[in-house]
Amino acid sequence: MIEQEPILSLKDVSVQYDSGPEPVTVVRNVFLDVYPQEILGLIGESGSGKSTLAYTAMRLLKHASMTSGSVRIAGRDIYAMKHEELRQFRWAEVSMAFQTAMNALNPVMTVGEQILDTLKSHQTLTREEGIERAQELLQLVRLNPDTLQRYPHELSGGMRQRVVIAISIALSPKLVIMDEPTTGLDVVIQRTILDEIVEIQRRQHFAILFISHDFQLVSTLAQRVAIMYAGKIVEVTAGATLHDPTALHHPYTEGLIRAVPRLSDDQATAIGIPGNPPDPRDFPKGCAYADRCSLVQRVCREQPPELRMTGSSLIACHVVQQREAKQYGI
Amino acid sequence: MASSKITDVLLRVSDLEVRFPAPSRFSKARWIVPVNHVALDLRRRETIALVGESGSGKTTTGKALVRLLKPWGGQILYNGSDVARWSGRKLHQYHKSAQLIFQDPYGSLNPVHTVSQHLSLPLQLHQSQEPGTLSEKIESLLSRVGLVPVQEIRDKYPHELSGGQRQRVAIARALAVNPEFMVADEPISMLDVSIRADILHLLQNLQNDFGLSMVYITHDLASAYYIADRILVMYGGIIVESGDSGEIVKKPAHPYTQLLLAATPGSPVEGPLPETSTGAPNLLLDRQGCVFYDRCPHAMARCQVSQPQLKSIAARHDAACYLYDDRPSEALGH
Repeated sequence: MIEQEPILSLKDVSVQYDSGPEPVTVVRNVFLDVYPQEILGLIGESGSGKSTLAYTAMRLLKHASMTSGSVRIAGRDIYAMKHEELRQFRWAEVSMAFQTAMNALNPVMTVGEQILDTLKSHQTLTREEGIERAQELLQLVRLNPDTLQRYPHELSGGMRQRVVIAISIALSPKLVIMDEPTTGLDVVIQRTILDEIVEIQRRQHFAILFISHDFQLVSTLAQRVAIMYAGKIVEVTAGATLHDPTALHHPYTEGLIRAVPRLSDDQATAIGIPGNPPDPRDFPKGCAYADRCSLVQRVCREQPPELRMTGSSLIACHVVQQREAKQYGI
Repeated sequence: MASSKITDVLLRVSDLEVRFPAPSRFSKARWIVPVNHVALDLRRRETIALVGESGSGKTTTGKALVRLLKPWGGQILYNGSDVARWSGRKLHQYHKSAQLIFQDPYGSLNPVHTVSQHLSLPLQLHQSQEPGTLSEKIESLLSRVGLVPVQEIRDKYPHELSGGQRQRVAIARALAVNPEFMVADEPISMLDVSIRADILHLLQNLQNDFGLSMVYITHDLASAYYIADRILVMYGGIIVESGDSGEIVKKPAHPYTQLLLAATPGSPVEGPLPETSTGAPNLLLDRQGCVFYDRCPHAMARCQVSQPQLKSIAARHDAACYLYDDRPSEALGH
């Protein structure tokens, strides 16, 4: 996977919101690559900047601007594109399935019209061809073809989410960004839809950037997982390491692992992480996690840690990096 | 259930039924039945979890227990009196014993009231015999729920607090009337992952310290297993299985519980989900047969005809399923 060109490459991306009385930086110098055909999970809590990062990658920011860095998709700088070029590129190469399925669909258009709308804005095809393709798409997400004639309000939450996913893969993009695609659905429906996503992804060979706050869910779904805290990526690791008690992790990741009650674990006490993330208007000079961290040392307050290969993962933590270095006598 | 001594039981619910009017175009039946002949015991100092998906009737059951809504039928025996039909002054008294904590800490607090204003009204209503001024009581409540520094927090408005802090205010407000039991409806599902455990522990500690009973309502089997002594699984308004938490998670008996467990993230169950369709349960009054019939991989002819009753299938383990009718124990591998 390493030799491949990334399908999505974020380099040194910082994003600032301009809507308030003073600009607020919510994404800070993020480097992140998504490779073809992989599922990369992006985990973060509310306010961590994970959704903002998704909108940045689609060049869909509102009241916000990218203050540094570049976004390349399939090798092309999407912030250098002209408007019409970007419109053609978006959805054909990269698409997005949004968090709230009801709001992502137009309430006064049938499902069929919305899928046709997407197809026709990028391809020249007859109505018959379009309908045929729309029916294929619905079959992929296991919806009855007569769903085409129905309006969003006639569908259940799970069915709507399937329509949103069908639209996101309508033009066979190379990358689909999914922002909490199953949040708010019942666990059984959630699991069914996730199984379908994985199955379609295996057949159609696109990459997924899967954004979620649900640690358990992402760690079983994704091959690689990036953990975001206070606008920064603090760790990038293989999904399997999150179930491996011997693996090295960022203290925040360790905190998240311990914070959730588990079905498989009888005796373990779930332990919350004390404190709150820093105020982005009063961002600390050193590590953003220092105030909540049990391993904190003086260096953590003085300079921000960088993402470095530590053990088998990329980890941005002075203390974990030092321990690893000592262990190998470097 | 029947084995418990009546003196331990704080709340004994039998045959509880809640009906809502049904939109007429769906059926000739005029009612839907979101809570259908529910029976449960809540013992003193016990935590039970009502687990189910949306539409299972878990929240409606919770609201009926604290009498935020009036049940259509059935009994809610509280200290020996049936509170199901109470109203007026008596109901007001009951509300002091039974408190509800809501899911959404952003919606359940008044945005123009400070933290201390949220607590002073219930404290005044309660008129406790304990010594101390109102202000001292507010401060002691706030420190009990971990809202420190108290002097700073008490004058803040909800928008100045984080989600976890707001939920602590909601918990303090419920405690202010010195209740005997609390119904906590998805108290952590809108909070960030890193603070959920702290709120669960706070509920556990308060329960120990105040000798409270608790009904914990959730869609998440893992947190129910973590906090509750017993789990009651609801589907389509019916309790389909109940038992000690470990028993439910380790030896789920009802096909719906098995499905729910398999679908929960981090569950040890692998492979395709054990269900035959993904439909929602039928809640109409004129429904026939088992509520899970359409989705059940083990459906039999008799399941289409009548709803199985909740029956003991092992020690302290009940299920409402015909699979266990004739062979109470071997089916579970006991």
